[in-house]
Amino acid sequence: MSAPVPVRLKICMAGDATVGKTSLIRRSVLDEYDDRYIATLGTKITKKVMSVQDPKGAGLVTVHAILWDIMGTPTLRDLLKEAYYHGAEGIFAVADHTRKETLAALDAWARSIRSVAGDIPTLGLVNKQDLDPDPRFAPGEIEAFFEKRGWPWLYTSAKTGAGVEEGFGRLVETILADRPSLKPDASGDGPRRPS
Amino acid sequence: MTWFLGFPRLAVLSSVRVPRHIRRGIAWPLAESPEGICVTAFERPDTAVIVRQRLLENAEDIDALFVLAALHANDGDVAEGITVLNHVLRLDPAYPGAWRFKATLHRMRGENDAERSAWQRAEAVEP
Ligand SMILES: Nc1nc2c(ncn2[C@@H]2O[C@H](COP(=O)(O)OP(=O)(O)OP(=O)(O)O)[C@@H](O)[C@H]2O)c(=O)[nH]1
Ligand SMILES: [Mg+2]
Repeated sequence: MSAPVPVRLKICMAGDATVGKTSLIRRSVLDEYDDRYIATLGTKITKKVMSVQDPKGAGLVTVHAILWDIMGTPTLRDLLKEAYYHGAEGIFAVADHTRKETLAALDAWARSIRSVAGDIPTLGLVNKQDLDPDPRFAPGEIEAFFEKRGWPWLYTSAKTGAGVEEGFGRLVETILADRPSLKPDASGDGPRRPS
Repeated sequence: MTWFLGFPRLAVLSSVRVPRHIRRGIAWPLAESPEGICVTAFERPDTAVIVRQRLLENAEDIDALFVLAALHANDGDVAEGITVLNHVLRLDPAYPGAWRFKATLHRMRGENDAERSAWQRAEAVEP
């Protein structure tokens, strides 16, 4: 019997520069962390293989999450949006717990991605939880931000690993639950979202 | 003199607009590392500065070239953007997002056939 064909999902990392997008992928895929900052230029693609429970009850499915780590440069965002966001099925909207302005910036990132990829599942990650929060955050402000947009969210730390695996698991399960069927398509890349 | 895309290399690189305060070198505590630029504070330097730095280290740095193409287009020089992007696609015909970006740039110039054919290549490379 041949092995089940994996389901392939394109997931985009969104958020301003230095919020920790690359570090979160590195933590999740390699279980590594580096304090040095190397600015991402363009995009880097990483595959994360996951085994997740099929939310439609068909047992475990193998998922190849194709993670697009996109540079946090708002000035080039709209010019490059088709290049980067076409075919995306999920968004990690990453903010930095130590910089309040990175939270509000998520709206513009999500808008740009959704203008290309449609109304796809979005999970907020408030990263750098290991550091003291920006004192400009009012109590309850982060919760209210995500609640207003209807995006589930969680705190993460790429440095300690807190929340990272849970975040990937939650987004992938939400995407799978949204898909019409988990039956992989003939190309072997899994079913496509209807366009 | 080294040449790059048919131009003196530094002419191409210096065509990336760099704000004056950065040119004077006082804005960010930049330090070079083997992997690229490090900043001591968590602040990203201007993308044009990073591109220029990486291309000075390696004129064929494909990520920097891709972003250089975007910077040209963003500055209004879409034709130069396409020239640089074509170079990227010669170096790596499967560079992520490059064919779709090429389609975008041709559309900006009203070049419908070129746009369509770039989009078809994108569908073949990144279905
Ligand atoms: N303390 C702490 N530092 C972090 C965390 N995540 C990332 N960093 C640091 O923050 C800096 C920026 O992280 P990156 O992952 O490169 O940020 P990015 O969002 O990919 O940035 P761009 O590529 O410029 O868009 C690096 O120095 C990281 O080491 C975290 O959870 N905790
Ligand atoms: Mg990065």
